[in-house]
Amino acid sequence: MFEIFQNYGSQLWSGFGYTLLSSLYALIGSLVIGTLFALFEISPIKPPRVIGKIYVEIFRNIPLLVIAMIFYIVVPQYFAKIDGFTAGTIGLTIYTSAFIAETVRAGIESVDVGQMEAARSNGMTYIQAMRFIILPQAIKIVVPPLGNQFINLVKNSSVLAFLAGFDLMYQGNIIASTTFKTTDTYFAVGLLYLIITLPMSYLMRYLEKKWSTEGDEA
Amino acid sequence: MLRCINGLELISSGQLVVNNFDLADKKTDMNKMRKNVEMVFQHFNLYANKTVLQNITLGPTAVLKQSKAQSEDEAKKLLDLVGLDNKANSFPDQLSGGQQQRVAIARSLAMKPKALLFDEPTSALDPEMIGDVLQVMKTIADQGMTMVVVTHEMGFAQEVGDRIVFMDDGRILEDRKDVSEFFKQPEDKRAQEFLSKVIKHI
Repeated sequence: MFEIFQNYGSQLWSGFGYTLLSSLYALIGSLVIGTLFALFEISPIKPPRVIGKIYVEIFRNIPLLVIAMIFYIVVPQYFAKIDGFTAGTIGLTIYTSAFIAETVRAGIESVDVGQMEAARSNGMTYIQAMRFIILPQAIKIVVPPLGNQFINLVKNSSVLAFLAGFDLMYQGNIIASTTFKTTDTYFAVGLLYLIITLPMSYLMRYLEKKWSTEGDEA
Repeated sequence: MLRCINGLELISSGQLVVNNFDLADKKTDMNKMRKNVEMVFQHFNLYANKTVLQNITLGPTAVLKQSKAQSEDEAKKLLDLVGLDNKANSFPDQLSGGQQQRVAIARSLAMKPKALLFDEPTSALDPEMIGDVLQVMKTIADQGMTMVVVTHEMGFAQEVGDRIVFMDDGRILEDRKDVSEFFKQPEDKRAQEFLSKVIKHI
């Protein structure tokens, strides 16, 4: 394994970089889109609720690879050409956002309904109540399951390998097929994934612990 | 009925006018109406993510657009009124039920409402705490605040109430302005039955 790092280090680290970058884009994108659709899903008005439900049910129930392939192969036939990295990252964002929408929705719904009633009868609008009262409480509830989603996201980014996305898995496949040192290569790849995911695991655990012992300072 | 007055539940038929806002009309701006009518809940419903002081100042700053300094100033006076001036920086889950309810009353008063609604404010409290809350409510009533109180505390209702509405199963069975007469001689059968049981119980 040491030898792999010596001979193909730059290739592996380049893949590591692409994986990190794709994960970062997808993480931010899916968090924003997912939260938006979660708010749609719990909206007191019907149309956004229906849109939210449809979005979640479609993208949660199609394999990530299929979504990514649609962006890589189908979309370019009708619209602009998309490279593998971008197509994979878009697919990853959409796929993950459906799960995040469900997670965030569950978090919001687990906040006691009395909180919303109190805020409304205190004169706040629905949006103010969400912003000041409901969402801050929901975030703390949602952090542990959200951490799981983010870790899954990093691992799922390996789907880029199918789309020539230059990610870690892609480079690993190339190295393995040129050197035939499959064991060493895939162990090295696994190790590099751990470098990203383990700190995330610990960060989530830390936040979880911190927030369970103290109140909100805001 | 309280939840309807506050627009938390919509009325299905009939007419309900609160402070010149017609609640049966879909065009009525509930947010505007709610600025003048505040509610105290059975389970307090203090904002769990805010301190006691923030619980009270949030409405005035976010809804009435008051300055933070002014809101905090008023909040401290209200905490004084309900006897909790030393708890300003505590979180709701660090307070007893009775203390939480008194904060909830202060939170409502901070909005300078025209009316206060109380939804069984003492039902979730242990008996020792009830007195403190009722005392605060009585003080506010004596200051001339309009209050609608749903309660099983008959002694309190008799002492403080100007008008008694006896309800069962969502219907008004008796509506009296001569409060002490109601407690002596209720007209409605269900009210007679209820009062005899409650008084026996005490």
